[in-house]
Amino acid sequence: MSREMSFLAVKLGVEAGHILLSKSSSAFEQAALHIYNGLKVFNILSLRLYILDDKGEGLDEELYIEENTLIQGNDYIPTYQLSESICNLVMVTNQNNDSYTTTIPLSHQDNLIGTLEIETKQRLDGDVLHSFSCLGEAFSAGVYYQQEARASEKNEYLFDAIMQISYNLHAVNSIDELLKMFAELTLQYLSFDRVTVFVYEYHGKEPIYNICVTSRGESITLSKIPELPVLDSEPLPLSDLSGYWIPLRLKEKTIGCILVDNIYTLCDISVDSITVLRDLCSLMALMIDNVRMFEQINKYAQFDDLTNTYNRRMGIELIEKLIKTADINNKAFTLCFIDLNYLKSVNDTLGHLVGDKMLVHFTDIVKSTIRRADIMARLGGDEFMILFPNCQLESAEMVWKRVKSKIDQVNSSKAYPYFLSASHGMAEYTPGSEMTPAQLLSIADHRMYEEKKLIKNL
Amino acid sequence: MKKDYIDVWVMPVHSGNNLLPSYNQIADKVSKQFGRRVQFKIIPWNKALKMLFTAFKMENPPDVMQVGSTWINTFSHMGYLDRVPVGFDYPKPIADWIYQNCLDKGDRIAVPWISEASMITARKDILDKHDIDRHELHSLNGFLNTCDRLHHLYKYSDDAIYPFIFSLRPEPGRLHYLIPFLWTFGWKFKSFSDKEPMFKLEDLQAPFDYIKDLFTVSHIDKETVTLNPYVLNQQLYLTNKFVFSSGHWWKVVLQTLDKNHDKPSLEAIPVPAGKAGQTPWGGGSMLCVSSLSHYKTEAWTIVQHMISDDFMLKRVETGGDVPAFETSFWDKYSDIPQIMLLLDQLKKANCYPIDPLWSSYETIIVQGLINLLWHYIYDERPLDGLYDSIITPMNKKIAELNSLAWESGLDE
Repeated sequence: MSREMSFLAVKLGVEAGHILLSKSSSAFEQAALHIYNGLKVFNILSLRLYILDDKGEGLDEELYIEENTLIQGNDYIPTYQLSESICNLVMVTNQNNDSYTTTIPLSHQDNLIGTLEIETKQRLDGDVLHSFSCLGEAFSAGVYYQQEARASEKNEYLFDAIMQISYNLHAVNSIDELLKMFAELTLQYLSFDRVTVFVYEYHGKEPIYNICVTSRGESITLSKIPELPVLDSEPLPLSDLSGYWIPLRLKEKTIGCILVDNIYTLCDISVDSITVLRDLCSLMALMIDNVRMFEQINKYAQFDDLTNTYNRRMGIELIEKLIKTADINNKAFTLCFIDLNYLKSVNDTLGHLVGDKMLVHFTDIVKSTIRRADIMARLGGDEFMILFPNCQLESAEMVWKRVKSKIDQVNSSKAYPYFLSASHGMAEYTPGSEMTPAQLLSIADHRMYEEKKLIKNL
Repeated sequence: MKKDYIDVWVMPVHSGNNLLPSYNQIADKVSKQFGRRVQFKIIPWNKALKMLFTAFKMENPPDVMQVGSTWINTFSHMGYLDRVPVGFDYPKPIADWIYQNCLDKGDRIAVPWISEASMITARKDILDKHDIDRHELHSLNGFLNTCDRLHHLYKYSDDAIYPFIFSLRPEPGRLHYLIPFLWTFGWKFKSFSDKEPMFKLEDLQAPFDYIKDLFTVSHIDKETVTLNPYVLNQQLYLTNKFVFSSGHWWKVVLQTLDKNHDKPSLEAIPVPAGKAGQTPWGGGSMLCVSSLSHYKTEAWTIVQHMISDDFMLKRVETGGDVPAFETSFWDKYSDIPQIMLLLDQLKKANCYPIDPLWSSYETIIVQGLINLLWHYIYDERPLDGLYDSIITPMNKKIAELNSLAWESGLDE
């Protein structure tokens, strides 16, 4: 082989490398064809180009050229099956039946990034082999550039996707709604098989909210929570299963986690996408915290702190709502006004702490006895109210009887320093009667007072 | 973006022969009928799954596609498949496992197309030359002894042969040829939710010892087993280096059907039987229509053409893949023992578990088992040590994968 031929091989490597500097999606094909056509003088039979996969676990056949036909590659060689010479970046020639295959390692900074396999009819002599090695070196630079360009193209796409998700995430006042929106957007823009979000209880590690959105567009709430990994600030990959757990971090605290995965398709998830998604998760954690604060403020505005029942303002609002519903459905409801007797004397003699306990104790008894749909509110001091939706006075009285009976049991146990006693009065709302909440309360209050008088006279 | 043509993706036939003229005939017919262009695209087998998944994720999938039987359930679970329309009839599948693979929770999701059962392709001319009794090859010991004998016959000749060849590339397709060896020693698939590991050391010891013996008596070197299966099979056909190969039998079919080929050099033989009998792996591919297709009527019309008698006959005679359903091909060649043997193997075959996660399990399993086999044969390390470092993490991965499938498992 002449020196010109050796020079030609090197020149081809440089030119092919140069082709790979373009952003064309077919750059590898053009470059490989350029080498194949240029090497015809060496009686080349075929050419195969392998590129190291993203995980660095094997060589993926990018393309294959034989008899002037370019075929998309379909071979994969795990790195543990590569010969020692190739791993050490040494070119190898193997004899087949009636041809020779020269495998040229492609490298960047002494790391293997691919191979170029050239099959020729004749065994190549030393000079040519040396020039093939130079071809490989020149071509390697282009391959590395092309790999980087592909990665950066992916990153541009990712950046756009994340921008779209951030842009479309907006304030809502329910955590369930927020999680669903986040999971759906992440799935839509980043094309995962599934996105599952878990949010822990306010001051703990138990998940109280979860949602899984699938590629079919289904949203599922898991009834059995799987064992969740303990996460610090770093994402945790599933062991080779194409998925990542990412913490929802708020300052130094993990308030939940998300799992993004491709467990069905095993499509690769790039580390870059997870890095970007982690930032998005920080934004999400902040949004969750905002919704929680909003919910907390709402709760303070609606609930009585001590007894965890609705407060007076909310109680009146609920009567208004029930009146409207009763008129629409043409179904009566009943209001029960309650006064807890002897609270003042307990406060004066045993102290306010015991008085507070008495209030909570009484509330717990009532709440554990009334139906799920019934509503209890503290109107102030020792006054309470129960609303019995879709319930006439007689039925409500039956419920009150059960409350009374429980109170009697408590008193007969003599386990408490106080004696529980409550006076009650009921008023039924007849649909269409146009009574106001104040009128209804007034009737019930009056009846309660009558009962109170009777108790005092006993 | 909505395509203005009907996109059909199919995989190439093993023979490499061109089926495009037949596809173009279908394309012309359907184009004329509906006034819309039809385009067939050939995608390589090994990249097909990734290409299809990517196309669906980019919301730009083909309208009609050939889907491997082991992927069907995943595709259906992901919501990628249109249901087979009521009134769309297809011929009866040749085996119940083929029919079952075309269903998802009782719904018809695919149309059976071509079928395959794992068998061994053998050099008939070499076996005949040495009067090898075919019955000998039906048992594990008989097969091993024959390989040993063949090696010794050629040991001192210039044309040394390696009797049995098996590519150790960890491609999902290699599992089809490995799993029958496990079945014949009595191993069975467990439920993926089973707490017991899927592969125990005692399950693998005997079959892996046997395969190692096969490799040893065949004297195959590292370089040869890492050739890709396609190249290895080509070498079986074109050179006198190998006698038995665990690979697709398309070439046997082509030789058998070729009237000009009066002396076929190849034949297919069943995988040898061990204590648990002989069970080949069964698979193939189906035709499906994408749930995202804008041209479903046209797409199903194309499927109808692609399963027609004429087309299937042409397909077998060109590529060597046999139909998955009852069609005139089986009647036409019912007097050829090799074709009837293939039919028999297809009927008695076992398929993989029908599970939406199967293609993921398959990738994990094939990588683990091939990795184990490679190191067991060529590093000569004891199996228990390799089991701990390769199979224990693989079993863990299988269990982890199963635990993550909450939308199809935990909530049921």
